[in-house]
Amino acid sequence: MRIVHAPAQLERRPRAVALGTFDGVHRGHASVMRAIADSGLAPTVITLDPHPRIALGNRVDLISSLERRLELLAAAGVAETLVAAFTPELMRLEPDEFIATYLHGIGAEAIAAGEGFRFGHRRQGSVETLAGAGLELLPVVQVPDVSSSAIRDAVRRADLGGAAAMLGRPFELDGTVVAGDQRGGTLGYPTANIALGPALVCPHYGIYAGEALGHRAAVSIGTNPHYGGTERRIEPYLLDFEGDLYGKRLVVELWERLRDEQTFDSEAELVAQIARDVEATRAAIRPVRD
Amino acid sequence: MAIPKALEPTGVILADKPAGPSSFAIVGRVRARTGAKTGHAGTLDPFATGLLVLLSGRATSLQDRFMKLDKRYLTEIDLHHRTTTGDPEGDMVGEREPPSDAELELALEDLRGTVELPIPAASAVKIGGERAYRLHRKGVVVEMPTRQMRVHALELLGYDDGVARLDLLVGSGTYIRSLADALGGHCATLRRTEVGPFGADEADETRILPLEDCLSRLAAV
Repeated sequence: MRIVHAPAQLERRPRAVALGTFDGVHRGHASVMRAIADSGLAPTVITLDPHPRIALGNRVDLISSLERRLELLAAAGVAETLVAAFTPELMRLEPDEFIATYLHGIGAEAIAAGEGFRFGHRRQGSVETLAGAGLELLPVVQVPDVSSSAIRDAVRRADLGGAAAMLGRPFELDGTVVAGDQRGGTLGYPTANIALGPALVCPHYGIYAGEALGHRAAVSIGTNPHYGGTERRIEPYLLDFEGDLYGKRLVVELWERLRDEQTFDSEAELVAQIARDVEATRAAIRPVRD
Repeated sequence: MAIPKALEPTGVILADKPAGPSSFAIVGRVRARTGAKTGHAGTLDPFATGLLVLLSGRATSLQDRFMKLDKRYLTEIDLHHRTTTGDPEGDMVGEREPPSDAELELALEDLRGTVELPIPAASAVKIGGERAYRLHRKGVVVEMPTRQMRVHALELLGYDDGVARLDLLVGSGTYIRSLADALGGHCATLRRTEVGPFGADEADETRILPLEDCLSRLAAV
């Protein structure tokens, strides 16, 4: 998939364009992608970054990083994606100007957008505006009860089965491995400490089973209360894995919540509990089959 | 689960678009009959008529191969005034006395070869008799980017009552509406007669030309 940042970088050609933020690229978004991929025209996405609600000063915990979003769009068969910077200038564009520059300018003929899609100055533009400008509205198979906000809520309350059902894949943590407290190694369970992007949603604190790099992973999310920690730590222990992950990007699927964080009477009890967590991780079931 | 659109029949369909519908509307009509995933290799504005090269089934992935071809057009350019969109649907701008025969010949000479011209504003579309595209009505002027356009051949077929009839062979990405605007007029009618080796006289929406044959015709150009 080709990624560009300005409409002028996209050659004018007959295109089917999907418009939206597409945070998480969930099953509803996948249905939009199928509509443009099946159109017969060049399947193209215009996605906004940062998320419009964040740009307007609201707090939105994103499901996926932009990098992951683009990977998922590529996997959905999108040929070209324009990442439009959601700037005050873009916000002030009249719907007609947006259509002229971003749609007619790149040869868009057909459009797919989710229900309730709005664009342009004061959110004046709607799918009706697009149809009025001669753009064909592609039929999109509606996926009921799936939305990015419902997924965020499910993740926050650790309903990973619910989140996975809406995403069409397990929820993922996506971050860079940074130096941690080096404590896990001394306990016999070396963990990777992941720095999660500040805009990304973090699940309810606790211990989880999941997978990373093809290895099952027991993941601790929280403050390590046994050691009196206060900062949030996200620490997967990859089973049967040896290697140096420092500085690397790590995407961790979360499958199941195993238990709450807790404090123990002794380090030996903590280690015994970790052993049981690892055992539970080996038995965990991926919530969505490929 | 949505059922993916069929990749058969695969081939090229040559359609002769009437004035009115969008190019994608013709795609939709052909798709409804064949059931196959269908695309096309270059838009004709709703007011224009003529050859539309449709790609069916697996041929949809070869849009690039069919897009870069030279195109031939017949057009009537009304030199009494420009319009905001370079076609009959736009608002009238710049009314004037049409040029003399000699003045027109000189202006046409300037268009031959490679010319840098602004891309025209989107052709207006009418929904239920009313123009839905309101950009110019509100007086919003969008600076259109320019593009290199290539006019390989240009023949003046006739010039009567300020309307010039032209036969043009142009490179891909050349807008006849831009050429009309450069002459100080607008396209009153536009018909595409050829796309690369394909002719409007061959058009038949119910025929599906084998992809291999079409690719060898492209290679022979």
